[in-house]
Amino acid sequence: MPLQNRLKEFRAAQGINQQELGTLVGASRQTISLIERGDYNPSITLALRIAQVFHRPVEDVFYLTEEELS
Amino acid sequence: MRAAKKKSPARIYVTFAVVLIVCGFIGGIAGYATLSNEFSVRNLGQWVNQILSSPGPWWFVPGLLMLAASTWLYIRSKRLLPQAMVDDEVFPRVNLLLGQSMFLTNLSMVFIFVAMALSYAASWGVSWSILLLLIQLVWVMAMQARIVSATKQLSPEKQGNIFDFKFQHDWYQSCDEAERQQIGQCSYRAFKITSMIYPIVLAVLAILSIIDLIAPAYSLLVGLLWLVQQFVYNYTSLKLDKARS
Repeated sequence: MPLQNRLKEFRAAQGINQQELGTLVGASRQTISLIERGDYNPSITLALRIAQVFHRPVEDVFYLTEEELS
Repeated sequence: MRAAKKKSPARIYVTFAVVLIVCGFIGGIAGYATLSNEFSVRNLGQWVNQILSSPGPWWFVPGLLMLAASTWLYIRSKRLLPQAMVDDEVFPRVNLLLGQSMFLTNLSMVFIFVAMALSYAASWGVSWSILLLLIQLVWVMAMQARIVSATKQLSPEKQGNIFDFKFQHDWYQSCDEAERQQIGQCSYRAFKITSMIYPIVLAVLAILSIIDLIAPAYSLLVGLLWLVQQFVYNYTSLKLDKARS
């Protein structure tokens, strides 16, 4: 089940590209790109690191839709 | 993660039994047909050998074509590389092109060694084969070095030198969780397919060696390869279990 995310939106707001975000959280640019496209669900550790970069709770960045929750 | 499709246990056992019976039946027929037509099978074996050796160095053509296609993909990716460095939309496309290019060089490497084994036709001589082998090997190495270099430009965290014997180790160490998961999925699929192929090849070789069409050493060789695969997989699995317990 793909995890929904607002990574692209938060990244744009912060003015950083995929490579820079990858460097900040210790992931590759490819992985950031996969997460943004919903092709990869990050581990809890990586999700927390990403949320930390945006100074947001993790559930603001990653979430499940109502349909997926039911 | 996609949920596994649930099957009833009865269906699983019936499928297993049917597959065993069908395979046994096919094996029995193949063995009987081979033994009862030993002479024809021998002629067929000789004919196949003649067919395989007649193209001589032309066996190198598939590998060369793959390398040409790989080079073309690399050139396409290289043109887009400066754009991919700054544009996140172009990045996956270039990454995919480089991956496809590497895929073709890896395939061509196998074709080179197959061609080397099959290309010694008397009419052409060995020198042509050796020359083509060297050209192709140099081309493969050059392509792989360039593809790795371009990938490193795209993903600067990647480590490893293609000419270093520790390249695979270094590359893996510089991969993150998603890339390692991908490597695991690819390895699993390769393991699954080869685990299916080894017993089939071994059974065919065993039948052919019964009538002395091929030496029993071929069966031993395939058996050893299968053994290495099973040993490495199971040993690594046990080692990881032990480390976690």
